[in-house]
Amino acid sequence: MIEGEEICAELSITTERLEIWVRQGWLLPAREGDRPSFGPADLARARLIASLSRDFGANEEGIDLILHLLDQVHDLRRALQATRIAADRMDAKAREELLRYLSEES
Amino acid sequence: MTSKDPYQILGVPRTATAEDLRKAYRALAKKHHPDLNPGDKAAETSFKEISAAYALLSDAEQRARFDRGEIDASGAEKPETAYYRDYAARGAGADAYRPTGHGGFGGAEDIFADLFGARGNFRMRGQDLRFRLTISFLDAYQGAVQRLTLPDGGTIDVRIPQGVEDGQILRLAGKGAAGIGGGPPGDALIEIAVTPDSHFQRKGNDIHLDLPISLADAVLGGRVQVPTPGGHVAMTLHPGANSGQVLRLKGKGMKRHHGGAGDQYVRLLIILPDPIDPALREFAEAWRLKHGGASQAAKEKTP
Repeated sequence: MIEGEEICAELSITTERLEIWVRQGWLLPAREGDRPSFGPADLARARLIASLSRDFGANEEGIDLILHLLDQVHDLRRALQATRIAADRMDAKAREELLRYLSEES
Repeated sequence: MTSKDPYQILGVPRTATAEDLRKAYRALAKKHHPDLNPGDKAAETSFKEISAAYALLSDAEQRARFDRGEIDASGAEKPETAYYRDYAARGAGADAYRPTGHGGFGGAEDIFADLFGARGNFRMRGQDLRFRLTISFLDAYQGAVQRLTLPDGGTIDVRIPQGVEDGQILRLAGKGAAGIGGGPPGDALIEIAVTPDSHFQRKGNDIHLDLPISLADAVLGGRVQVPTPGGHVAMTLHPGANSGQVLRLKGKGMKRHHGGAGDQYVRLLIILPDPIDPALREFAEAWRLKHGGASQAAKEKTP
């Protein structure tokens, strides 16, 4: 569990900035009573948001859009991963068939 | 470690302006930032090089020193950091960010329903759902049942076993998201966080406690009441008990999962009355006169 202050210190941002990110829905920390409680995944995501704004000059709308698309990319990647695992469980002949169809279609 | 020329890494001439550098960096970072290229395994290594080169050259003073040959390109590397993609790929703590389908696009389930739904014969096990649950030290000691509210408004009763540890993950089979097309449901994975107690400190299965005792009990010995997470127990102090001395209460620690229990260690702390009462002060003055002062005595003994 990571305190909001630790995130602010690592990324050199104000607590107001972090609160804005949470209000925007860019970060979804768990709650402990009425205090937000961040995990390592939240910290890594906060690092990405800071980098989008600092290194890439993305503004609020840009960051919102990027995160929205990125979350979909990750979901698609998971779906593909699940497909791959499912394909691994098929017998060899069926798998080859699937691969052939896939290469024909793409 | 990096001995490559940072100008070469960013692909700019040595005369590049700060703006040129920034543009070159952005263009490369877009292609190599691990979070913007989640499928590119090599991205992390090349991005590390790029950001180290940019960190060096974007600092006017560092850049000047590098140009004069006073420093080389090493030392500008940042320590290893975890990228968001690492969590998103494993679902570790990143599930909250998964798109949820309200009509439009959302979730692997929708993708599969879209891909295979028309045939109506697709079965898939439901997703595991992850939660975090914070409990008190006492609940960790004696075990408890806690109700967890799910994002969809439902609830699960989580039985917390005795002696559960901070960071331990409980798996509730079948309590995750519903399966698709008649597939089995996923599991609920609950990470337990234990709030530290202000008196008891846990080390493994043992519990440590500081116990204040009076000067009279220390000198004369006696029975004292010791708090344990399971209630008070009586303990005998021998005459001459001292601050820092540690006594063990066998079997009064955390209960182990498969029977048995750790021990509780009690460290004594002699607490003088505050304020010091006149009788004690008088006695101590007489004592010091007679014994030449405690610190004096200690000095004489030192070889």
